Amino acid sequence: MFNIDSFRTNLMKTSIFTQNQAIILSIVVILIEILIVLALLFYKKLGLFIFLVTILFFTIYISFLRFNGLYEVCGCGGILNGLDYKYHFLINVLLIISASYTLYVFNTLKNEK
Amino acid sequence: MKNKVLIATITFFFTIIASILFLNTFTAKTIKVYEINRKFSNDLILKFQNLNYKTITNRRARNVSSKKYICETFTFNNDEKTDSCHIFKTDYDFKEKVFLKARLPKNAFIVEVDSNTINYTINFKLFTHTIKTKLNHAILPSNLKIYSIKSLTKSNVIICFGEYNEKKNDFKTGFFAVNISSKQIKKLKIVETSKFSKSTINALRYSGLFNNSNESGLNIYTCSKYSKIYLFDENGYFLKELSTQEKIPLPTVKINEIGNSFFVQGSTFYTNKSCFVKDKRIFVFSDIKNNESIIIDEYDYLNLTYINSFKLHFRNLTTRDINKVFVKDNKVILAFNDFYASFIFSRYT
Repeated sequence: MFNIDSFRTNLMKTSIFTQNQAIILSIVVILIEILIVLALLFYKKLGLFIFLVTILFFTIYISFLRFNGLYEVCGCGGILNGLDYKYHFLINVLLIISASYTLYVFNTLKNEK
Repeated sequence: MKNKVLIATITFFFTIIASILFLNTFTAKTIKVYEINRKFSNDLILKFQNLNYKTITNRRARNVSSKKYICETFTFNNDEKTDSCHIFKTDYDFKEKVFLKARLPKNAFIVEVDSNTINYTINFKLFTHTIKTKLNHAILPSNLKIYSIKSLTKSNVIICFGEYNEKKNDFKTGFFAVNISSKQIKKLKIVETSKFSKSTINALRYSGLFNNSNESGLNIYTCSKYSKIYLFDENGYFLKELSTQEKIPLPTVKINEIGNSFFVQGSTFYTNKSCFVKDKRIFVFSDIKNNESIIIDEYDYLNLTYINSFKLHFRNLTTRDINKVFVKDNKVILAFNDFYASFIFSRYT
């Protein structure tokens, strides 16, 4: 959010998005992130589910960039900015595994109750 | 109903995971790959001599061009209107050492330092700061935008790479020789002509560096993201252009809504870092791929054909780690982030 211009520029750098698409997408992504935070605070299971789906789509996005030779370093403008692909992919996979496991634990506990 | 939801959910996740696996296993056939079929020679072309640590250790410090010196600069915020600048100069033997400070206008980008002057650009305009008088003044006509410069050793002329707006709707990108005293502009080599200014784009597309040598001789401009090297004689006259073997075309540059220009991924590749000419051969520090060592490609000076390549193994560093190359006689000094490594050109020794 604090580095949104950098995020938009990095979206445009991929040549997949036009300037207008990059502006819209950057706002949509931030809104989804806020939605996930709120959902995690008040509806943990739903929040986890949205987070899992989002991170899966994000992993598809970075994988698509790699597939087409468009990934150089992470250009999210956040804490992962400048990360090499293999480390970025590894972090995403770990997030997918941990979110899936947490969802599984939630379901198991609910069933036990 | 519950089973249907479960099946749909499993199918959804399975499809996504299968897509991720596919995209990470294969690579698109449309990816442009520029490779050189290199013939590596076992000759030790550069023999390591010694290592000298940098004086200005800040990560943002830069090596800049100078007629006689190896030069380090570090610019930082001073007040609302000015930046402070630390400059360290040393000779090619690292014996003579000069440290000086200067105050330059905000956002001044230093391009060259000499005994008495600091040349810098602001918004593609070239200015000079006289160290003794502390005065700044523009030294080139305003219709010439500057991307890179090199002062000729023996004359009052500088070679510039930039954009010249000679007439209305006529913008020429290329190399120009400018006499500082008379302000006379001479076209040396035009690489592109357009009806409107492309300075913000072309400054990136043709980005590169002039060679740094404290002996009179060839003046060479090496593009860092385009497979071209432009060679000029000691008086600045254009001699020839070398297309290096990987033949990478000009990169694509875009401009965002706040006016910043940037390279587009997938069509931008590193090419060459620098080069020098010895014994009618051109030695190019090739940066085409992240190699495990420094790669030097050798080309024939007369017919510009590729001959062979050399691997220079030095502290696991690659060509990309080199910041600047300084050459004097048989001495080749590579500037890295923290130190200078001096080598002797040892082809025949």
